[in-house]
Amino acid sequence: MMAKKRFVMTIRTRERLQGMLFVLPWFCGFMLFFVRNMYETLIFSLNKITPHLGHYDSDFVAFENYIYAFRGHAQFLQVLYNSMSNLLIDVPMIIFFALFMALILNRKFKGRGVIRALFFLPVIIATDGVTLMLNMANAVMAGGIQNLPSEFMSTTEGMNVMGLMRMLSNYGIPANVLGYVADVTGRIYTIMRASGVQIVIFIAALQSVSPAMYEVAHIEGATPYETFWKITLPMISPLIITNVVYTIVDNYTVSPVVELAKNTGTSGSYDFGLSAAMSMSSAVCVGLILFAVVWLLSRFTFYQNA
Amino acid sequence: MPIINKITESAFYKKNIHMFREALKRFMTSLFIFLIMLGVTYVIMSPVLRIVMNAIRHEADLSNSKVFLIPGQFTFQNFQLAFDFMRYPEILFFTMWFCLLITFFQLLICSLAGYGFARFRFPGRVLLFAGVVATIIIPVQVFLTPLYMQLRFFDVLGIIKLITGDTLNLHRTLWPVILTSATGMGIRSGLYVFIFRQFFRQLPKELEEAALIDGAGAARTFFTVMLPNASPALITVGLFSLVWQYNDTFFVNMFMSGNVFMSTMMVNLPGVIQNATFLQNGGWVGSPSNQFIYLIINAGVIIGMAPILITYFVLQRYFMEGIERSGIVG
Repeated sequence: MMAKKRFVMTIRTRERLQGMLFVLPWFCGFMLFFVRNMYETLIFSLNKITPHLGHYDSDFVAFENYIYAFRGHAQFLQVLYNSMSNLLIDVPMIIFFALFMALILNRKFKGRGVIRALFFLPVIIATDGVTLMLNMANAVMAGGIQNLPSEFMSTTEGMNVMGLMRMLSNYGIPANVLGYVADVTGRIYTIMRASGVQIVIFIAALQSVSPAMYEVAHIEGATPYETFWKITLPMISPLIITNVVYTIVDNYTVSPVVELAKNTGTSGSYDFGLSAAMSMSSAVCVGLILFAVVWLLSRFTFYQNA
Repeated sequence: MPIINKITESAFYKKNIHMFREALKRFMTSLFIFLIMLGVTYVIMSPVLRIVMNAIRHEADLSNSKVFLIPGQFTFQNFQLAFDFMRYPEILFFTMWFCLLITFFQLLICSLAGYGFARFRFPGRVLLFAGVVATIIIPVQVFLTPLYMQLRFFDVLGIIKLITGDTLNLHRTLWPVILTSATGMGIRSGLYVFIFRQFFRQLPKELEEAALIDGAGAARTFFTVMLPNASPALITVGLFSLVWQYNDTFFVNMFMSGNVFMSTMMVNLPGVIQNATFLQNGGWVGSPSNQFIYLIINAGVIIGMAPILITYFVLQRYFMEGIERSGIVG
């Protein structure tokens, strides 16, 4: 250390020390719970873990868990594929919907405060108990309570879109487009429920666009359409990335593949190694999607300060 | 259409055609917005309304086919039953103090870290902030298994084992969530650190300079000058943290399964009612039908969510302001 008597902290040293002290509690948790467990997940996934009462054994098996997950497991690949494709279907819809709603909610009209509060309501009441109730309430939408099936714990979601589909297919709209539309329509409630935070972030972004720009555009004779594409969209584009990342992560945490990995590790065979391998591979998949999407979007993003 | 012809041919109309067009445009726009809002409000509110309607529906309505949506007989009996089955006061008190404790930890630790990242330069700052972003992006589900094991055989650098001779089993206690929140790794803590950092960054630096000149140290500056000025961010993060902790069933089921919180109580209510009435009646005879249980659960969900809903509607004005000002936007 330093000579004790003459030691005087410079302002710079002091600042460094203080900064570290402020971050210290968070840093402890970061090392103890995050870094350690990410490392452990990697190690677990390369080992065969046999849990016993009070301790567990591990044998190094290299990539056997990964190979089993992809080649030998009955559901993993399918569930992973479904989760990822659902993610890719839902995310654009949520972003478009949130942006559209934010644009409307950003206008001045009577009762705006109430409507805004209402839009965030699904986020507030998003707990398993309520979700269960809402799904059941949707399921009995058509027939009233008399038609409630006796095994009422089984839930169905969404609305009946078959009639609409038949009509549209009679008009000769391609089946895969129809499939997407059907998917989205069926999930409209899910999409609304998942877009509360994004709407609020977009509203905040819209509020931060300087009104002077709109004035200039108006004076120069820009149409609202041009104003949207040339001013609004570029100005909020950094927040589109934020929202896309938030949506992907949010969607991933509730996806079936995470559920499968969890169940593999915490029930049945208690195969911790396989569970860790599943977690790692699905996280890598989402990471790749995130990376690709952010890279793609950042090419179209406009930063005012840069 | 003689009247319309008369209007369109009139000199007044021709002179003021712009005004008419503008008025029509404005009217059409607001009609469009109104319709969209109506539709969306319907989708959000209709299940909620249906839950309310079911909660105040009398049991007798179940076998009355004339009753649809609106209850034939109003009653608060369902609420009374749900209140009893849920052991409401006890569970609510327990859940609330726990959630408030966690919210306090989240606010304290995340604001400290956010302030540290926003205003101080120290070696490794950029790297550590990348760590914050990593905790936002990588959900806890990815490292669930090691976390599960870690909390089962809990130890910090082998110290606990050295003292007591064995590791701690934290499962089924309250410690998992308390420990993770008190070290900034609770539910969505990364997001809160991020919000606080963005907020503190946009506060004027003169605040701290004034405090420094008046002789306040860093800790004092933070608690007496910066925190009171950060109330929008505090309200936003506080509400988020309270709501997400209250609603959480994942961590509760994973690590604290011995404890009954309001969120798990709402999920388990059907089973609770069936068991209770089964024991009470000594058999299946006379236990309530599934439909009747469904009505009671509706009421149970309403009273279960009531504290959070009330908090939200009281705070929502500040909350929206907080989000707009707290610079999630940057």
